[in-house]
Amino acid sequence: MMKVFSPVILLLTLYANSLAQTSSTVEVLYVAGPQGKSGVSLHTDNVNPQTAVATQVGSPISVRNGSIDPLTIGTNHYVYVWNSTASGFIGRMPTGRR
Amino acid sequence: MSSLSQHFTFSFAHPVYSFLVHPNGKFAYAAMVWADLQGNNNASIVLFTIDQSTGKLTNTKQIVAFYSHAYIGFIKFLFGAQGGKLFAEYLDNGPHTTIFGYDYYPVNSITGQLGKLQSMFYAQTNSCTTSCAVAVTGALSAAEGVCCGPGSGGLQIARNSTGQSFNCDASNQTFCGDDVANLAIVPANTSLFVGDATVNETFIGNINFTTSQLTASASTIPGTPPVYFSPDSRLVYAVNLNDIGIYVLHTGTGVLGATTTLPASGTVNIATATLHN
Repeated sequence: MMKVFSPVILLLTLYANSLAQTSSTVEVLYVAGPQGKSGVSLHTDNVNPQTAVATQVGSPISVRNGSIDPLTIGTNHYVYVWNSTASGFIGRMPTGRR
Repeated sequence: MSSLSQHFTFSFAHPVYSFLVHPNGKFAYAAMVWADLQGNNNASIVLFTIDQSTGKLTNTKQIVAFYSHAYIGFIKFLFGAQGGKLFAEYLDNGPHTTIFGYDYYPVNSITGQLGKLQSMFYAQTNSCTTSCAVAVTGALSAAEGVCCGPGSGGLQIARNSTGQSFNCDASNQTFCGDDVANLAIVPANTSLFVGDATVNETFIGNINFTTSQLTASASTIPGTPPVYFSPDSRLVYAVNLNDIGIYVLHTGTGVLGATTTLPASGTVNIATATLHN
């Protein structure tokens, strides 16, 4: 009998009005780690394309061994964080922050 | 600022090796990879739809691609920038064989269906066991898919849309003749980042199809870390063991400008986005 695998996907919905207002374009870096351990965190940083300086935005989000797929549809920004083997974990998203 | 989060759990018969979102935001794909009792390498790709207003996923349960081979197995999936092709990197690990290569599935952007698997290119050398690499990127133009390989003695740079290609070896650039730890191509298809395992340094070669030359940038990156790029090619991220090196890239010259580091301990996964207000 085949084992059933249950990937978990965490969808974060981010709104354009949460972005820096001083620039029409924002470079974003998502980092999930450390992988392979409990307590993996997803960090979001805005990166200045002239200075390469990264500035953390919001608070880290608890995930589990997350792989990351960002997506933009119109003015909405989504981040899919998926895990091929985890099941039943509870993610959280800080209210009012991205 | 506001944000929401949702969790989805989907059941599959086999491990999901990769989950990919199509650039048009309408579809997503779960790629399962597994070995069967006969030792065949199998892969199935399942189609999801994405709610355009909420981002919610719906599993159509349609298997839009299936692959099975005794020796060849997929090891990486990615979309080109325009989403016309779903690239699949493979390893052919047959007897006395080590080949890395890329195939692709044509993507119907209206239905999300995948077409018949198409061959692209591969890298094979006798000394390929530990130091071959291939890379591909979706171009921002119709010239989708520049590729490079094999390393270990020479690189071939090809533009798949036209079939144009040229070689670079040690007589052109020293790093072209060295062992390759990894390759990465800037999304704008202007430069090739070559992780040189021989001297433990990452070189930047500017791709010029007009002159059929790979010219070296004055900039390098220490070591041979995996490198990633912002979608608009303005930033380079080098994922080291204890930090992420962030570099400003001048795409016209391949020269790196301002540099910073971001602490990051352990193995991390990263992704980049260029967001427009």
